[in-house]
Amino acid sequence: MSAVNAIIDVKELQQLIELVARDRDQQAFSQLFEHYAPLIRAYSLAREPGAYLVADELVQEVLVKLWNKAHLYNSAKANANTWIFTLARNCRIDYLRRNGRYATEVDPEDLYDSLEDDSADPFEATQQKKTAQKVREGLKQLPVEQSQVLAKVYLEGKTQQETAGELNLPLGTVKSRVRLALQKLEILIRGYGQ
Amino acid sequence: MIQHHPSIDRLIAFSAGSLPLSQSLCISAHIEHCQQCRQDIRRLNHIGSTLIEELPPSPVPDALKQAVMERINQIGPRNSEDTAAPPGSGDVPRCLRSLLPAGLYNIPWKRLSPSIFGAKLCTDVNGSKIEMLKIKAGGQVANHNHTGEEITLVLEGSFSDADGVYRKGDIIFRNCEDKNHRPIASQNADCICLTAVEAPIQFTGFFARLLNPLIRRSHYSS
Ligand SMILES: [Zn+2]
Repeated sequence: MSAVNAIIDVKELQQLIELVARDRDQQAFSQLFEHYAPLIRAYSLAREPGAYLVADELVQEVLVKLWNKAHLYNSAKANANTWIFTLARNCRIDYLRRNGRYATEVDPEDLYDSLEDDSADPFEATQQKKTAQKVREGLKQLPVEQSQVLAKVYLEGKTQQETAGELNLPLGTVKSRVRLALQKLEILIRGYGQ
Repeated sequence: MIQHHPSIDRLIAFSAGSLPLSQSLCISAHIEHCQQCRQDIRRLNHIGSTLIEELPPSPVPDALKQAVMERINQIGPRNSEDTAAPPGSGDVPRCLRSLLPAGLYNIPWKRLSPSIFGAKLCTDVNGSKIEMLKIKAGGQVANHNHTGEEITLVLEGSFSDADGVYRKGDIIFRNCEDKNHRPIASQNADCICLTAVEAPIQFTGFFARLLNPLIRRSHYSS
Protein backbone atom coordinates (compact mmCIF):
# COMPACT_ATOMS: atom_id res chain seq x y z
CA MET A 1 0.00 0.00 0.00
CA SER A 2 1.58 3.28 -1.06
CA ALA A 3 1.46 6.35 1.14
CA VAL A 4 -0.76 8.17 -1.35
CA ASN A 5 -3.33 5.38 -1.42
CA ALA A 6 -3.29 5.16 2.33
CA ILE A 7 -4.21 8.83 2.66
CA ILE A 8 -7.14 8.45 0.28
CA ASP A 9 -8.18 5.42 2.28
CA VAL A 10 -8.20 7.38 5.51
CA LYS A 11 -10.46 10.03 3.99
CA GLU A 12 -12.85 7.40 2.68
CA LEU A 13 -12.86 5.65 6.02
CA GLN A 14 -13.68 8.94 7.73
CA GLN A 15 -16.63 9.47 5.40
CA LEU A 16 -17.86 5.96 6.12
CA ILE A 17 -17.71 6.59 9.87
CA GLU A 18 -19.66 9.82 9.35
CA LEU A 19 -22.31 7.92 7.36
CA VAL A 20 -22.66 5.43 10.20
CA ALA A 21 -23.02 8.30 12.66
CA ARG A 22 -25.53 10.30 10.64
CA ASP A 23 -27.64 7.69 8.87
CA ARG A 24 -26.91 4.50 10.79
CA ASP A 25 -25.82 3.28 7.37
CA GLN A 26 -25.29 -0.50 7.52
CA GLN A 27 -23.68 -0.59 4.08
CA ALA A 28 -21.02 1.88 5.23
CA PHE A 29 -20.59 -0.12 8.43
CA SER A 30 -20.09 -3.29 6.41
CA GLN A 31 -17.26 -1.61 4.46
CA LEU A 32 -15.66 -0.45 7.70
CA PHE A 33 -15.91 -4.02 8.98
CA GLU A 34 -14.16 -5.36 5.87
CA HIS A 35 -11.32 -2.90 6.35
CA TYR A 36 -10.80 -2.90 10.10
CA ALA A 37 -11.83 -6.36 11.33
CA PRO A 38 -8.80 -8.18 9.83
CA LEU A 39 -6.45 -5.52 11.25
CA ILE A 40 -7.96 -5.67 14.73
CA ARG A 41 -7.80 -9.45 14.60
CA ALA A 42 -4.10 -9.20 13.70
CA TYR A 43 -3.57 -6.71 16.54
CA SER A 44 -5.02 -9.19 19.03
CA LEU A 45 -3.03 -12.10 17.60
CA ALA A 46 0.17 -10.06 17.90
CA ARG A 47 -0.33 -10.07 21.66
CA GLU A 48 -1.61 -13.64 21.98
CA PRO A 49 -0.56 -15.69 18.96
CA GLY A 50 -2.99 -18.53 18.27
CA ALA A 51 -5.72 -17.13 20.55
CA TYR A 52 -8.35 -16.90 17.80
CA LEU A 53 -11.36 -16.80 20.11
CA VAL A 54 -9.89 -13.87 22.00
CA ALA A 55 -9.12 -12.14 18.70
CA ASP A 56 -12.68 -12.64 17.42
CA GLU A 57 -14.10 -11.33 20.67
CA LEU A 58 -11.96 -8.21 20.39
CA VAL A 59 -13.09 -7.68 16.78
CA GLN A 60 -16.72 -7.85 17.93
CA GLU A 61 -16.24 -5.47 20.82
CA VAL A 62 -14.35 -2.88 18.77
CA LEU A 63 -16.76 -2.95 15.83
CA VAL A 64 -19.84 -2.72 18.06
CA LYS A 65 -18.18 0.20 19.81
CA LEU A 66 -17.51 1.81 16.46
CA TRP A 67 -21.24 1.55 15.71
CA ASN A 68 -22.23 2.96 19.10
CA LYS A 69 -19.70 5.76 19.22
CA ALA A 70 -19.47 6.85 15.59
CA HIS A 71 -21.29 10.11 16.43
CA LEU A 72 -18.51 11.01 18.87
CA TYR A 73 -15.89 10.73 16.13
CA ASN A 74 -14.76 14.04 14.70
CA SER A 75 -12.54 13.95 11.63
CA ALA A 76 -11.18 17.42 12.43
CA LYS A 77 -9.76 16.00 15.68
CA ALA A 78 -8.27 12.65 14.83
CA ASN A 79 -7.77 10.58 11.75
CA ALA A 80 -9.96 7.52 11.45
CA ASN A 81 -7.15 5.01 12.03
CA THR A 82 -5.97 6.70 15.19
CA TRP A 83 -9.51 6.79 16.51
CA ILE A 84 -9.94 3.06 15.80
CA PHE A 85 -6.59 2.35 17.49
CA THR A 86 -7.81 4.06 20.67
CA LEU A 87 -11.04 2.00 20.57
CA ALA A 88 -9.06 -1.21 20.08
CA ARG A 89 -6.57 -0.39 22.83
CA ASN A 90 -9.37 0.44 25.28
CA CYS A 91 -11.23 -2.76 24.38
CA ARG A 92 -8.01 -4.72 24.92
CA ILE A 93 -7.62 -3.22 28.40
CA ASP A 94 -11.26 -3.96 29.08
CA TYR A 95 -10.77 -7.58 28.01
CA LEU A 96 -7.75 -7.93 30.36
CA ARG A 97 -9.83 -6.35 33.10
CA ARG A 98 -12.70 -8.80 32.68
CA ASN A 99 -10.19 -11.61 32.87
CA GLY A 100 -8.57 -10.50 36.10
CA ARG A 101 -5.35 -9.28 34.58
CA TYR A 102 -6.13 -5.65 35.21
CA ALA A 103 -7.84 -4.09 38.21
CA THR A 104 -11.60 -3.86 37.77
CA GLU A 105 -12.56 -0.62 39.42
CA VAL A 106 -12.06 1.78 36.55
CA ASP A 107 -13.52 1.86 33.06
CA PRO A 108 -10.61 2.20 30.59
CA GLU A 109 -12.63 4.82 28.68
CA ASP A 110 -12.41 7.07 31.73
CA LEU A 111 -8.61 6.88 31.70
CA TYR A 112 -8.31 8.35 28.22
CA ASP A 113 -11.33 10.63 28.20
CA SER A 114 -9.50 13.91 28.78
CA LEU A 115 -7.54 13.49 25.53
CA GLU A 116 -10.66 14.79 23.79
CA ASP A 117 -10.43 18.10 25.63
CA ASP A 118 -8.44 20.14 23.11
CA SER A 119 -10.70 19.45 20.14
CA ALA A 120 -11.61 23.11 19.76
CA ASP A 121 -8.00 24.11 19.06
CA PRO A 122 -7.44 24.28 15.27
CA PHE A 123 -3.67 24.76 15.66
CA GLU A 124 -3.43 21.54 17.63
CA ALA A 125 -5.53 19.73 15.01
CA THR A 126 -3.11 20.83 12.29
CA GLN A 127 -0.12 19.75 14.36
CA GLN A 128 -1.65 16.34 14.92
CA LYS A 129 -2.29 15.87 11.20
CA LYS A 130 1.35 16.69 10.52
CA THR A 131 2.51 14.21 13.14
CA ALA A 132 0.23 11.49 11.79
CA GLN A 133 1.70 12.04 8.33
CA LYS A 134 5.26 12.09 9.66
CA VAL A 135 4.75 8.89 11.64
CA ARG A 136 3.20 7.15 8.65
CA GLU A 137 6.16 8.05 6.42
CA GLY A 138 8.84 7.73 9.08
CA LEU A 139 7.92 4.38 10.58
CA LYS A 140 8.79 2.52 7.37
CA GLN A 141 12.22 4.11 7.31
CA LEU A 142 13.21 3.30 10.87
CA PRO A 143 15.97 0.74 11.35
CA VAL A 144 14.37 -2.63 12.14
CA GLU A 145 15.89 -2.65 15.63
CA GLN A 146 13.90 0.52 16.44
CA SER A 147 10.58 -0.40 14.84
CA GLN A 148 10.80 -3.85 16.45
CA VAL A 149 10.90 -2.28 19.90
CA LEU A 150 7.90 -0.07 19.13
CA ALA A 151 5.97 -3.09 17.83
CA LYS A 152 6.67 -5.01 21.05
CA VAL A 153 5.32 -2.14 23.11
CA TYR A 154 2.31 -1.14 20.99
CA LEU A 155 1.19 -4.40 19.41
CA GLU A 156 2.32 -7.05 21.87
CA GLY A 157 1.58 -4.87 24.90
CA LYS A 158 5.01 -5.49 26.43
CA THR A 159 6.69 -3.24 28.95
CA GLN A 160 10.16 -1.95 28.05
CA GLN A 161 11.54 -4.28 30.71
CA GLU A 162 9.81 -7.30 29.12
CA THR A 163 10.99 -6.16 25.69
CA ALA A 164 14.58 -6.02 26.95
CA GLY A 165 14.24 -9.54 28.39
CA GLU A 166 12.84 -11.01 25.20
CA LEU A 167 15.41 -9.40 22.95
CA ASN A 168 18.23 -10.17 25.36
CA LEU A 169 19.21 -6.54 25.59
CA PRO A 170 20.00 -4.24 28.50
CA LEU A 171 17.01 -2.04 29.45
CA GLY A 172 19.08 1.05 28.63
CA THR A 173 19.48 -0.10 25.03
CA VAL A 174 15.73 -0.53 24.63
CA LYS A 175 15.11 2.92 26.08
CA SER A 176 17.63 4.56 23.79
CA ARG A 177 16.16 2.81 20.72
CA VAL A 178 12.74 4.13 21.68
CA ARG A 179 14.13 7.65 22.06
CA LEU A 180 15.93 7.54 18.72
CA ALA A 181 12.73 6.36 17.04
CA LEU A 182 10.68 9.12 18.64
CA GLN A 183 13.20 11.71 17.53
CA LYS A 184 13.08 10.50 13.95
CA LEU A 185 9.29 10.47 13.97
CA GLU A 186 9.41 14.02 15.38
CA ILE A 187 7.30 13.00 18.35
CA LEU A 188 9.98 13.83 20.88
CA ILE A 189 9.97 17.59 20.64
CA ARG A 190 10.42 18.98 24.10
CA GLY A 191 13.26 17.87 26.34
CA TYR A 192 12.81 14.91 28.63
CA GLY A 193 15.02 14.64 31.67
CA GLN A 194 14.64 10.98 32.49
CA MET B 1 2.00 26.00 35.90
CA ILE B 2 2.72 22.29 36.04
CA GLN B 3 6.41 21.57 36.59
CA HIS B 4 6.54 17.83 37.16
CA HIS B 5 5.56 15.47 34.35
CA PRO B 6 5.80 11.72 33.76
CA SER B 7 8.80 10.49 31.75
CA ILE B 8 8.32 9.80 28.04
CA ASP B 9 8.65 6.07 28.78
CA ARG B 10 5.56 6.20 30.97
CA LEU B 11 3.65 8.26 28.43
CA ILE B 12 4.45 5.63 25.78
CA ALA B 13 3.26 2.80 28.01
CA PHE B 14 0.10 4.78 28.80
CA SER B 15 -0.52 5.40 25.10
CA ALA B 16 0.10 1.73 24.28
CA GLY B 17 -2.21 0.61 27.10
CA SER B 18 0.40 -1.47 28.91
CA LEU B 19 0.68 0.43 32.22
CA PRO B 20 -0.78 -1.11 35.37
CA LEU B 21 -3.99 0.56 36.57
CA SER B 22 -2.30 2.17 39.58
CA GLN B 23 0.08 4.10 37.33
CA SER B 24 -2.51 4.75 34.64
CA LEU B 25 -4.81 6.44 37.14
CA CYS B 26 -2.12 8.87 38.27
CA ILE B 27 -1.04 9.63 34.70
CA SER B 28 -4.63 10.05 33.58
CA ALA B 29 -5.28 12.53 36.41
CA HIS B 30 -2.09 14.36 35.45
CA ILE B 31 -2.93 14.71 31.77
CA GLU B 32 -6.34 16.08 32.64
CA HIS B 33 -4.42 19.04 34.07
CA CYS B 34 -1.57 19.04 31.57
CA GLN B 35 -2.13 20.06 27.98
CA GLN B 36 1.50 19.37 27.08
CA CYS B 37 1.30 15.70 28.03
CA ARG B 38 -2.12 15.32 26.37
CA GLN B 39 -0.53 16.55 23.18
CA ASP B 40 2.34 14.09 23.53
CA ILE B 41 -0.02 11.18 24.06
CA ARG B 42 -2.09 12.09 21.02
CA ARG B 43 1.16 12.15 19.04
CA LEU B 44 2.20 8.79 20.46
CA ASN B 45 -1.19 7.31 19.57
CA HIS B 46 -0.30 7.70 15.89
CA ILE B 47 2.44 5.08 16.39
CA GLY B 48 -0.14 2.55 17.53
CA SER B 49 -2.50 3.30 14.68
CA THR B 50 0.22 3.21 12.02
CA LEU B 51 1.61 -0.08 13.31
CA ILE B 52 -1.86 -1.64 13.20
CA GLU B 53 -2.48 -0.36 9.66
CA GLU B 54 0.67 -2.09 8.53
CA LEU B 55 -0.02 -5.46 10.11
CA PRO B 56 -0.69 -8.31 7.68
CA PRO B 57 -4.51 -8.54 7.90
CA SER B 58 -5.85 -11.72 9.50
CA PRO B 59 -8.87 -13.06 7.56
CA VAL B 60 -12.08 -12.88 9.57
CA PRO B 61 -14.53 -15.81 9.55
CA ASP B 62 -17.87 -15.02 7.81
CA ALA B 63 -19.77 -16.08 10.90
CA LEU B 64 -18.08 -13.31 12.86
CA LYS B 65 -19.31 -10.65 10.49
CA GLN B 66 -22.83 -12.05 10.67
CA ALA B 67 -22.69 -12.02 14.46
CA VAL B 68 -21.58 -8.39 14.52
CA MET B 69 -24.25 -7.33 11.98
CA GLU B 70 -26.88 -9.05 14.13
CA ARG B 71 -25.65 -7.31 17.22
CA ILE B 72 -25.81 -3.85 15.69
CA ASN B 73 -29.28 -4.60 14.35
CA GLN B 74 -30.45 -5.24 17.88
CA ILE B 75 -28.99 -2.00 19.15
CA GLY B 76 -31.54 0.16 17.34
CA PRO B 77 -31.56 3.93 17.53
CA ARG B 78 -29.02 5.69 19.63
CA ASN B 79 -29.98 6.26 23.23
CA SER B 80 -28.97 9.28 25.21
CA GLU B 81 -26.48 7.31 27.32
CA ASP B 82 -24.16 7.17 24.34
CA THR B 83 -23.35 10.84 24.40
CA ALA B 84 -20.06 12.07 25.79
CA ALA B 85 -19.46 11.23 29.43
CA PRO B 86 -20.26 14.02 31.90
CA PRO B 87 -17.39 15.76 33.67
CA GLY B 88 -16.58 14.59 37.19
CA SER B 89 -18.27 16.23 40.14
CA GLY B 90 -16.31 18.97 41.85
CA ASP B 91 -12.65 18.79 40.98
CA VAL B 92 -12.52 15.03 40.64
CA PRO B 93 -10.54 13.91 37.59
CA ARG B 94 -12.67 11.88 35.20
CA CYS B 95 -10.67 8.71 35.83
CA LEU B 96 -11.66 8.86 39.52
CA ARG B 97 -15.37 9.48 38.95
CA SER B 98 -16.41 5.93 39.74
CA LEU B 99 -14.09 5.72 42.77
CA LEU B 100 -15.08 9.11 44.25
CA PRO B 101 -18.76 9.47 43.37
CA ALA B 102 -19.40 12.10 46.06
CA GLY B 103 -16.63 14.39 44.84
CA LEU B 104 -13.37 15.66 46.25
CA TYR B 105 -14.94 17.46 49.21
CA ASN B 106 -17.03 14.59 50.57
CA ILE B 107 -14.41 11.91 50.93
CA PRO B 108 -14.89 9.62 53.96
CA TRP B 109 -11.46 10.38 55.41
CA LYS B 110 -9.84 8.21 58.08
CA ARG B 111 -7.65 10.07 60.51
CA LEU B 112 -4.12 8.66 60.43
CA SER B 113 -2.48 11.32 62.59
CA PRO B 114 -3.49 14.82 63.75
CA SER B 115 -2.54 16.25 60.38
CA ILE B 116 -2.83 13.30 57.95
CA PHE B 117 -6.03 11.75 56.61
CA GLY B 118 -6.33 8.89 54.17
CA ALA B 119 -9.03 7.15 52.13
CA LYS B 120 -8.36 3.90 50.34
CA LEU B 121 -9.70 3.74 46.79
CA CYS B 122 -8.67 0.34 45.46
CA THR B 123 -5.87 -2.19 45.12
CA ASP B 124 -4.38 -3.02 41.73
CA VAL B 125 -3.92 -6.65 40.67
CA ASN B 126 -0.17 -6.17 41.16
CA GLY B 127 -0.75 -5.28 44.82
CA SER B 128 -0.27 -1.52 44.47
CA LYS B 129 -2.51 0.45 46.79
CA ILE B 130 -4.36 3.47 45.47
CA GLU B 131 -5.32 5.98 48.15
CA MET B 132 -6.40 9.55 48.61
CA LEU B 133 -4.31 11.50 51.08
CA LYS B 134 -5.05 14.78 52.81
CA ILE B 135 -2.31 16.69 54.64
CA LYS B 136 -3.68 19.53 56.79
CA ALA B 137 -2.21 22.96 56.04
CA GLY B 138 1.32 22.99 57.46
CA GLY B 139 1.11 19.30 58.35
CA GLN B 140 3.94 16.89 57.73
CA VAL B 141 4.06 13.24 56.71
CA ALA B 142 6.37 11.14 58.92
CA ASN B 143 9.80 10.27 57.60
CA HIS B 144 9.50 7.23 55.45
CA ASN B 145 11.57 5.17 53.06
CA HIS B 146 10.00 3.35 50.19
CA THR B 147 10.49 -0.29 49.48
CA GLY B 148 8.57 0.15 46.25
CA GLU B 149 7.66 3.08 44.06
CA GLU B 150 5.29 5.76 45.26
CA ILE B 151 3.47 7.99 42.79
CA THR B 152 1.80 11.16 44.06
CA LEU B 153 -0.44 13.50 42.13
CA VAL B 154 -1.46 16.83 43.66
CA LEU B 155 -5.19 17.54 43.27
CA GLU B 156 -5.60 20.47 45.69
CA GLY B 157 -3.19 22.74 47.55
CA SER B 158 0.53 22.10 47.45
CA PHE B 159 3.30 20.37 49.35
CA SER B 160 7.05 20.42 49.39
CA ASP B 161 9.90 18.11 50.29
CA ALA B 162 13.68 18.38 50.24
CA ASP B 163 13.62 18.38 46.42
CA GLY B 164 11.02 21.02 45.60
CA VAL B 165 7.47 22.37 45.70
CA TYR B 166 4.60 20.48 44.07
CA ARG B 167 1.35 22.11 43.00
CA LYS B 168 -1.97 21.10 41.50
CA GLY B 169 -1.41 18.72 38.57
CA ASP B 170 2.22 17.94 39.42
CA ILE B 171 3.11 14.24 39.45
CA ILE B 172 5.96 12.92 41.59
CA PHE B 173 7.67 9.54 41.41
CA ARG B 174 9.67 8.30 44.40
CA ASN B 175 11.44 4.99 44.83
CA CYS B 176 13.59 3.24 47.39
CA GLU B 177 16.62 5.30 46.49
CA ASP B 178 14.91 8.45 47.72
CA LYS B 179 15.95 8.49 51.35
CA ASN B 180 13.86 10.05 54.07
CA HIS B 181 11.24 11.54 51.88
CA ARG B 182 9.25 13.92 54.11
CA PRO B 183 6.46 15.90 52.44
CA ILE B 184 5.04 18.98 54.18
CA ALA B 185 1.83 20.74 53.11
CA SER B 186 1.89 24.48 52.46
CA GLN B 187 0.75 26.70 55.35
CA ASN B 188 -2.22 28.26 53.60
CA ALA B 189 -4.32 25.28 52.50
CA ASP B 190 -4.92 21.57 52.99
CA CYS B 191 -3.23 19.43 50.38
CA ILE B 192 -5.20 16.63 48.70
CA CYS B 193 -3.31 14.04 46.67
CA LEU B 194 -3.92 10.84 44.78
CA THR B 195 -1.25 8.25 45.58
CA ALA B 196 -0.29 4.83 44.30
CA VAL B 197 2.20 2.83 46.36
CA GLU B 198 3.79 -0.31 45.02
CA ALA B 199 4.78 -1.97 48.27
CA PRO B 200 4.56 -1.01 51.94
CA ILE B 201 6.82 1.86 52.88
CA GLN B 202 8.85 1.93 56.08
CA PHE B 203 8.90 4.69 58.62
CA THR B 204 12.27 5.59 60.05
CA GLY B 205 13.21 6.78 63.52
CA PHE B 206 12.86 4.94 66.81
CA PHE B 207 9.17 5.54 67.61
CA ALA B 208 8.11 5.16 64.05
CA ARG B 209 9.88 1.78 63.98
CA LEU B 210 7.79 0.68 66.92
CA LEU B 211 4.72 1.80 65.04
CA ASN B 212 5.52 0.07 61.79
CA PRO B 213 3.63 -3.16 62.46
CA LEU B 214 0.52 -1.18 63.45
CA ILE B 215 0.31 1.05 60.47
CA ARG B 216 0.35 -1.31 57.57
CA ARG B 217 -3.28 -0.39 56.97
CA SER B 218 -2.23 2.82 55.31
CA HIS B 219 1.09 3.90 53.95
CA TYR B 220 0.97 7.29 55.53
CA SER B 221 -0.06 6.81 59.16
CA SER B 222 2.46 8.16 61.61
ZN1 LIG C 1 2.50 16.84 31.89
